[in-house]
Amino acid sequence: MIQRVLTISINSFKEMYRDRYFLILILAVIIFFGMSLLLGELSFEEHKRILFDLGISSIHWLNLGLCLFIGGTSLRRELERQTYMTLLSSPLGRFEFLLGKWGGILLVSLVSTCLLGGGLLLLLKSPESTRHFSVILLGIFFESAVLLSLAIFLSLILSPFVGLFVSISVFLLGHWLESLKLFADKSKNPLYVQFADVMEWVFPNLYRLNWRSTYVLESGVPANVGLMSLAHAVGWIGLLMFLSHIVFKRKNLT
Amino acid sequence: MISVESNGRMTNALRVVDLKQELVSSGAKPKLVLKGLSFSIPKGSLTGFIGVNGAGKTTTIKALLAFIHPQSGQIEFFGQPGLSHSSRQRLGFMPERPYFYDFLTGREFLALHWKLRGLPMNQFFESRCEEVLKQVDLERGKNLRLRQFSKGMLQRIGIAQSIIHKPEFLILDEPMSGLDPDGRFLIKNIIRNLHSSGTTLFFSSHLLQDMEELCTKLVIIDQGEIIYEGSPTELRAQRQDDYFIGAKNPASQEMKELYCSQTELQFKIDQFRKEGYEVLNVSQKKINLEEAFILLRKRREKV
Repeated sequence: MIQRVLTISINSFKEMYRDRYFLILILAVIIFFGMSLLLGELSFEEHKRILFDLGISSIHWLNLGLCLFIGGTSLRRELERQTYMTLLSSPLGRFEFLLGKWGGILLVSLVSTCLLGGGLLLLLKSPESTRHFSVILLGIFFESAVLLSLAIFLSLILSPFVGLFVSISVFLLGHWLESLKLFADKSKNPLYVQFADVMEWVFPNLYRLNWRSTYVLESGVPANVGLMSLAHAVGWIGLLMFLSHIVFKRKNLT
Repeated sequence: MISVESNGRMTNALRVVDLKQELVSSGAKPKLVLKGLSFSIPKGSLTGFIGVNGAGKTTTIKALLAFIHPQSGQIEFFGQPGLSHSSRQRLGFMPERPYFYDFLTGREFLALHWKLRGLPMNQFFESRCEEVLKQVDLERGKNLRLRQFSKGMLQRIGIAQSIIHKPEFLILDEPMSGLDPDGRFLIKNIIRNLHSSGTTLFFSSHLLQDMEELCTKLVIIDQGEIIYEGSPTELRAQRQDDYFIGAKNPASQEMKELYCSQTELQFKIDQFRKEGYEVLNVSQKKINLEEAFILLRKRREKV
């Protein structure tokens, strides 16, 4: 099973790697890095902070775009172009195919995050922050994995446009949940508190993985908080992939 | 070429019993597109699956390969229910529209399907890859991206991926559609060679001339129902009016011609003679598969 999943993942990776759109995206991020450098040069005091903020945001947005757009269209494209046919007539199960596609996109996300992250770290010229910087990248990567799983699930049940709209809504809600909870606690209104609790069960709390700050770069994330957040992400990935599997298994591939 | 198991039972590569499939389209009532299909493909046979466009050929193949879930019915591959993992290992398939990953080269595309069968990427793959590409006359496509392939080349690389692992049973959906005469000739030769090497083949087409040349068995589908299952010879023999009688009345010089079946032949000749006609010509009219197919469908329409 692992070999078959890996084969599909590597094939999907190859597809995106050879896709010019992906290279254009990477190029756009590199240009953004250059602009960050230029902006940083203009302000002596804030040089490092501006470079970090703009650089890490561009990596985050690249991953977001990759997972929501490519994740949301990848399976649909397979079904529309009927490229799945020769694959699924082989001993490849539908779940293996799904997992392979997911893994391939995630592999692209991982490689681009590592490459661009490494580049940004070199520009920041602060080797002492490597460990904390890696944790920030890990947060981006796991958030991407959750959103990718969501995009794949939605692509199986909704049209591409509606799927993308819902994915972006969940992304925004996921980052807003922490504030919602804070306001609910402050309000002391039991109904509001209950509403915030329900929302936290219904949507993934993506704010938990938002470690993109100079504070984290300097001080890091406490181990227990980091592990809990990653476990939260893994739980959501598991749930969304399981739901995708159920839907895809029953789907008539016409 | 029907194989018999050690216990004496005839074995089939595929057996389909009472397969029903509904097509659900938004806003419309579900329509039964496969109305209880039953047929079998004996091991070692070269079976043609004939039907006009929209008859249900591709839907049937999709149901066989579990791309769609039938409402009811039974599908057995190699005597096992459904399309099991082991059955898939023994199966090769080429879809109707050869849309493959066009960013891959011919070799990479074959390697993808090789690896999905759990086979190791070693020297054996390289030699098998060369062998298969030579078999489909596509050696020059080895390091060429599929997006640079012509329609005929795509069709051939499609066949190459379906046979790279030497399957026992090969399903081809319209392998000759849209090809020029050279391309069709080549594909027919590949099919013939595979059959003579012992592969069971099941392929759909509406090119009856090709079917007549190649097939040992025919399965004909019309409006979601199997209307014929048997050999091409039997199908041609089913024609009711395949004898021609030409007679002349010597007195009036009037000529009469009619077509009749073999069973009616003697009766019709006697009738002519009783009416004072001289039977001049009795001949058997040979019909081709196309005529037999059209007749079969006409007869069904009358029913």
